[in-house]
Amino acid sequence: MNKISKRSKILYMLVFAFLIGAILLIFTLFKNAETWALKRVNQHIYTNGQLVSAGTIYDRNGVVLAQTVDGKRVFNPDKTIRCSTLHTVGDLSGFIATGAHYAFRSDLTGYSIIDGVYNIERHGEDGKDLHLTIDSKLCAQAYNALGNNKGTIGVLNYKTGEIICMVSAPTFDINNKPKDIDTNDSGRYDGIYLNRFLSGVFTPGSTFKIVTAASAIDNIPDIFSRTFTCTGSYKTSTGTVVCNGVHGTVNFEKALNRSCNSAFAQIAEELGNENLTATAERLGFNKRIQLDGKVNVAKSYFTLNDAVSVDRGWAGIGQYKTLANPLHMATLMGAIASNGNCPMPHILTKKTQFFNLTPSSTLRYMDITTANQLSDMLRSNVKDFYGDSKFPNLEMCGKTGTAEVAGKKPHAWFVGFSRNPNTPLAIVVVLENSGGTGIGTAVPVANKVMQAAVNSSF
Amino acid sequence: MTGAKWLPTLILLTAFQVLSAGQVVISKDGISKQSAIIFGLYIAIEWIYTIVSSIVRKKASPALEFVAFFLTGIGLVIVASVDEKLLKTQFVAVVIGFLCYVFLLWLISSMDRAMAMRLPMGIAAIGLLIITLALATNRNGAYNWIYIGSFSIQPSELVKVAFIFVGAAALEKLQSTRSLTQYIAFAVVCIILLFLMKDLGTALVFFFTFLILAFMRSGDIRTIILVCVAAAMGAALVVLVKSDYVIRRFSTYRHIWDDMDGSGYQQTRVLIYSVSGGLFGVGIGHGKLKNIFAATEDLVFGVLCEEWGILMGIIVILCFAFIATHSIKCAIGCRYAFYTIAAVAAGGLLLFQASLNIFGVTDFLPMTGITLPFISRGGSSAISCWSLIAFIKAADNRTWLGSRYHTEVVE
Amino acid sequence: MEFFTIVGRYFLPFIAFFVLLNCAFSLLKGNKKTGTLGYLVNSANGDRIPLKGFETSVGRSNSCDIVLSYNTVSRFHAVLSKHKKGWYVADTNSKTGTFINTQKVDSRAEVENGDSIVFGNAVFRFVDALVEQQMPHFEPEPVPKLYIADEEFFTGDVWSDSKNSASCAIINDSTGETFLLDNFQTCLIGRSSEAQIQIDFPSVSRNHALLSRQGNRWLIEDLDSTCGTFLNSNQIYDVQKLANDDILDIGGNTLVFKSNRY
Repeated sequence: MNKISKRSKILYMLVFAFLIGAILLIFTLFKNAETWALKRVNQHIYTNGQLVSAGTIYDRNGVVLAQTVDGKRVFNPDKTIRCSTLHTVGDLSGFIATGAHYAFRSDLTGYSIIDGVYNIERHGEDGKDLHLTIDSKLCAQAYNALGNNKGTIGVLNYKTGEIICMVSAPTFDINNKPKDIDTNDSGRYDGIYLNRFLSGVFTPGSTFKIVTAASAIDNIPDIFSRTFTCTGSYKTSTGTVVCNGVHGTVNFEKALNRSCNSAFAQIAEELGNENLTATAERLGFNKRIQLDGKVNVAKSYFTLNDAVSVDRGWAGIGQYKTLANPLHMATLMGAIASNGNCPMPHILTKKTQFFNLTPSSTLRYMDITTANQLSDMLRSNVKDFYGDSKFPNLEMCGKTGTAEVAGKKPHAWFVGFSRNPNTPLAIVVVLENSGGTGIGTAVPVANKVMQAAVNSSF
Repeated sequence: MTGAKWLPTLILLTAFQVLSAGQVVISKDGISKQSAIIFGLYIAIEWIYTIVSSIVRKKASPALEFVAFFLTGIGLVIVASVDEKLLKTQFVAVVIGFLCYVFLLWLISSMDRAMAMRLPMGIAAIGLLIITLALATNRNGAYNWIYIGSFSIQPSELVKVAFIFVGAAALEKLQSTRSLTQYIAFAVVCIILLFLMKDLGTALVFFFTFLILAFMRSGDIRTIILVCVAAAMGAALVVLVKSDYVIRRFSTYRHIWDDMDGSGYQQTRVLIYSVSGGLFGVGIGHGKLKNIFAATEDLVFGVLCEEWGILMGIIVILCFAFIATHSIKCAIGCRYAFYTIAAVAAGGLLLFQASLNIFGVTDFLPMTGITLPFISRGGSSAISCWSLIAFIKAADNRTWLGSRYHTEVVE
Repeated sequence: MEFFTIVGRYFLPFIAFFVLLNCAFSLLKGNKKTGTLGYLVNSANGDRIPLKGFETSVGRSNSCDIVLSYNTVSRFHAVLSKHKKGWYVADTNSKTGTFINTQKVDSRAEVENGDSIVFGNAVFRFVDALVEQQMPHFEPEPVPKLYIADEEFFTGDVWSDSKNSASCAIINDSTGETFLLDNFQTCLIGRSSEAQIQIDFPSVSRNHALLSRQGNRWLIEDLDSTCGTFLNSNQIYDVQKLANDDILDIGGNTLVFKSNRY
């Protein structure tokens, strides 16, 4: 063989590099297929940036929330339903990231790397249909109950993990989007694209006392025989935690009934940073919940790093840096109601959980004794303090909260659940900067929604 | 007839072309007569060529031409699916390219004739480039097109052939003029002229081809590294001097999603529509990428992936790897240095150009505006690609068995 | 219409794949290796340098195909090339010049079998393998294979130092067959039926090795056999001289070379 022809082998290097590059290219295409194909500029799927070719979205009763008719996306004819389900169904341009139109866009359009957009392209609306767990009628009722408040209401079936109601305000009518939505700076549309139930985090206020109580039950053996003296405030070495009243001498249960800040600051002080943080994290703070493998829920936030005793006191009653996500609080209620475990929440009914991404995972928060003791205490809150008349025929357990927010009016909270095995529903109501108290404003709203919910098809 | 063993492949190839051309010939509006005739002629050329060559060159294997016909066929169907009016022009260019291939193969079959043609070729190449520089009008920022009546040609494509023709030489010529000086001078003039035309992509292709030719001639890897370093420093200098034009091009690289509707427009659309096609594509003529500027030229790989499917994209990639491997295989056993050098340079050029295009539009490399050989629309490109195939074909000993200029192998 | 598109979508990639696969099979073959086309026989020491390509560069430089380490040879001295019409020698600007039969080569000159070629002061005789191979055909009938069963042959008077003419033979150690080489110029060893010494054995290539006479000496050369040729357990890559009692290994068969002179 000639010496010159031997040199041709150098070209093998280029062929090799070319093939390696090609493998990387194909790998990258496959890896990013869904992200890229579902970009809003893809004219196979979107027209003028709006999702058009997609399957129908139904609620749990088969009510059509959105569908494609003759190349146009059509929403439910009822305006209240449109407004109340806006954040669940989502807009067509993907502003609402947790909305079904965006979060489940690959399922809705039927896109797959194997067939590409072929089916959408050929058959128009032949994407897969979505069946959501929400009850649109209940959502409309919850939306009405919310009135003019900003905030969120969510109802969770703690037996199945289905979210049967999810409303977030402010909202708008998708068929009649306000023109000034992006320009108005009066604060009217603040966070309008945010589904507060899934993506919002709020200072939990007194509702966090449930977490402090859980920590006390686990770490202080004689907690139920303890008494605390409330003089209207609790002094620590570094500052004072102010109480909402002067409660005198109270036991543990009473302290929770009355929501006594002095008592809980004292308990927090006794528990210390480590115990309290450990319990909070076991109960799902700082942890991510994901719905149906696609929708990321905002993390609840709790920290006591570098906290001094007065901070610990404030943290024990749900102030300080603590932030809670409403859905997370609902799962916490669900866990207390059902022996410490709550099924993973989801918004797709079983028949549309395509790849069964969330088979039967469970959020394990606490052991059965703690759960039952907390359940009894929360029941006592309603029975002995708020009054069962506030929640007729529900066997309701719960806790209110009035969360102080720096520079703004406080949030009114109610978290609770029905202990009746026939109505396994947990509810979270957050009225954002409403100025009212938990008992005064959140409880009536919660009752309205719960009454409607038990009559719905949960 | 030994050619008969190629019959099954030819039939498969024809089936492929009938099936793919059928998608554009038969549409909702009925059958397009003109397209049907053109594709019919194309397939006829394929058959006639294969049959004639299997008689004339009994032992030659037509594998390389099949791949070229295969790729060209895909290109024609894509042109027809995007704009049927352009099909005729493209087909004529392909036929001219094919005739150039046949002519060039005849031309270099006699080494003496080939050697005699090198000087005129070199002069013609530089002359053509100078004329282009004088006459060209701005087209997409580059001055690399000249118009003759209603025809437009891109001379830099044709010069590719001359560039390799001049670069390769018989062994005794190589021995007697050991220094590369003359050839380097020729290459530098070509590349500088391309720079002046602002045709950076083609200049890069020429530079790469020059490296291959220089290595094949001298076998000296140290010199090649030296040349590369010098070129890199030169390029750095150019970047420093005329910074914003070049930097603007490079700033998009790996950041195409940051400016989806601006500088990253073409690449992002290629990626979006490539994955939209999935493995099997949305069907020929049903894509959306074709509405984007230069869809059938620079972005043709995206159109291919979208309409024909990623699988077809993979097959096309393998076709280019095949052409390069084929040229190496032929060059290794080749009898004459001229064919060896020309084949490696031609195979390397085609593969390099394919890499620049495929990886350029998918943001693996900076986008250089290079066309995909055989498939991209463009007459000059079709002519140059088919001519380059002649160099590879010439290095295959089987081509020359029984030829009047070449000896039988001593068995 | 719809059906046609669906057929296209799924069948096109597969047809394309098979087209490419069929074409790719031709890669396996590649170009056939060229056999030895000729030799340059060094007149000083009788070395036979095979010419394996159609173009062979000669010079002192390492990048030449044939490296001649003589002071009088230029780094890039000459190129030998084979064309349809015959062989040519081109002098590539060497300092000391190239001569064919004492005729100085200007740029290119034809060279024929048996011509002497001089590079500087290195003298070679050119052998065209094609011509050399065709020589036996001119003989009236092929030389019959010699087969002497009698091992006594070697012990008898015939095989003695006193014998006037040189006499050489090959003994196949496995079968005991003996081949007398005296009537041959070259002698092919292999599985092929045309081989003078035919060894029908799977590990023996069709054309395995070549014995050739040079004066009174016999030379052995491997013909790119699959399993190689071993001389006294060393694999050989070039032409080697044989001496009495040398042991050859041809694909596992042991052959012993006998000579009364060397």
